[in-house]
Amino acid sequence: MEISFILNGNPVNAGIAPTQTLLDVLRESFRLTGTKEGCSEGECGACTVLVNGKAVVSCLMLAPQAEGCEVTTIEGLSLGGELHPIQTAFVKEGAVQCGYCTPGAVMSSYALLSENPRPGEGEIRAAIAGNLCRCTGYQKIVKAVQRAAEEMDDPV
Amino acid sequence: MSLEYIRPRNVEEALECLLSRTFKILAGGTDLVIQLREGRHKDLPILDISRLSELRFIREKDGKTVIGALTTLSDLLSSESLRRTAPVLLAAVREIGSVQIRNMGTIGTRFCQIVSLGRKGRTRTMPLPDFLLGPCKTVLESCELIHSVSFSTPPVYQHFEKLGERKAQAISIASTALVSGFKNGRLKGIRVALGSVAPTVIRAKQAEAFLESRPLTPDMILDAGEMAAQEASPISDVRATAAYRRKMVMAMVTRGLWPCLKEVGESR
Ligand SMILES: Cc1cc2nc3c(=O)[nH]c(=O)nc-3n(C[C@H](O)[C@H](O)[C@H](O)COP(=O)(O)OP(=O)(O)OC[C@H]3O[C@@H](n4cnc5c(N)ncnc54)[C@H](O)[C@@H]3O)c2cc1C
Ligand code: FES
Ligand code: FES
Repeated sequence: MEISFILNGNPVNAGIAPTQTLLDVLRESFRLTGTKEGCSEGECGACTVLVNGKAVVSCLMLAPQAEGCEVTTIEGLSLGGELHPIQTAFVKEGAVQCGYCTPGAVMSSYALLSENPRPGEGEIRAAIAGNLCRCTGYQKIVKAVQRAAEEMDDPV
Repeated sequence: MSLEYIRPRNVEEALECLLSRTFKILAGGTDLVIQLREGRHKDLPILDISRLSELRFIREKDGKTVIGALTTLSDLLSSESLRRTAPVLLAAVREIGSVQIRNMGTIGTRFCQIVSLGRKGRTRTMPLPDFLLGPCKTVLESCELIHSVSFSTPPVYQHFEKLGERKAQAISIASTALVSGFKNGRLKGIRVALGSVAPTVIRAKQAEAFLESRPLTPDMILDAGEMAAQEASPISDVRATAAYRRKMVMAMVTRGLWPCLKEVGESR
């Protein structure tokens, strides 16, 4: 079957099998391999993307469900080759080690800051509770989100 | 994996499909897509109801709340009216999965008191205990949809607690929800619900009756905790032993009841 949706701001079409997941289609049809596959069961958050502005795990969304939706992936945050302030903050705070969880964690942070530009630490931890990281111990990710919030709120 | 996917435009059309043959219904997909990946439901076509906006609503009227089956868990958390009337429900929802799972998962597949099932030309409504038959088993027939869930506004005192192995994304070992009103030094309309300690969610009815039978005392709270623990029928599994679960029911029910002593005092 054929689906059309808006991918990182551009209208796109893809021929898919109905039970392919959005994750498969992003990675395989569109070659957007920034979105990672970790567990395939909704637990790890590596595959997090935004659908109509809400963070979802793309491994549990069937591709046909994206019909007509606006889908934003990690590639959509750094359009034009400039890192998004959240990405810059992750780099500056050392919130990236192996990097496998990073795209998902950045997307969850992006969803959070879009709705709540000045989150408290508890709110940040709740927002990234669905993004498992085996390397950083989370402390630096939380710091990065705090830093991004400050810098986005008060651009120099 | 099944190869047919249908997205009906409205509830009417969905019910017509369900009457014509057997489908696997897709709502938020957080259970179903995992099952599909495991190779289950191979031969069944998928009926994607996730966009039926007719089934996505929260209505409150005359002390009764009705929630459409496709309302997401995140929708519930951003509802002003639920924040006012049913914080116990929101406390429970906040414990489910992660932001991503709550953005996708729907209420229709979950708790609440009364369930309405729609089938073409007929709707049946029943109390939750009649709907739930056992783990992952309900009375839902293949030609039916869950339409909505409803409950009367719970009394003022509301308490929820979930025990898991860690804070984020843990499947619960045991959970308790408790609501009560107060009158003349007694609990009134007390409800004690226990999760993950029986084949379905249950109410500790003996503890409830005992707690309403006379003015509340600290001893009664301890006895009620014991009673609730006896009413549970937990199993041992990878997360905890049955004995531990029983002890936790006792601990959680009493913990939920202690604040009532003060409130009861004020109602005298
Ligand atoms: C990572 C993860 C963490 C989780 N954590 C928790 C947790 O902490 N606590 C907890 O309780 N649960 C948890 N869950 C389970 C989750 O809450 C449920 O998967 C979710 O509520 C199911 O809703 P859904 O809309 O995604 O259902 P779907 O997967 O779309 O459907 C589930 C089943 O219900 C049927 N169905 C759905 N809607 C209807 C309807 N309207 N009428 C008839 N049949 C219908 C489907 O056919 C299917 O069989 C977790 C799941 C994941 C993946
Ligand atoms: S791959 Fe989707 S949550 Fe892990
Ligand atoms: S940086 Fe390695 S998993 Fe998070």
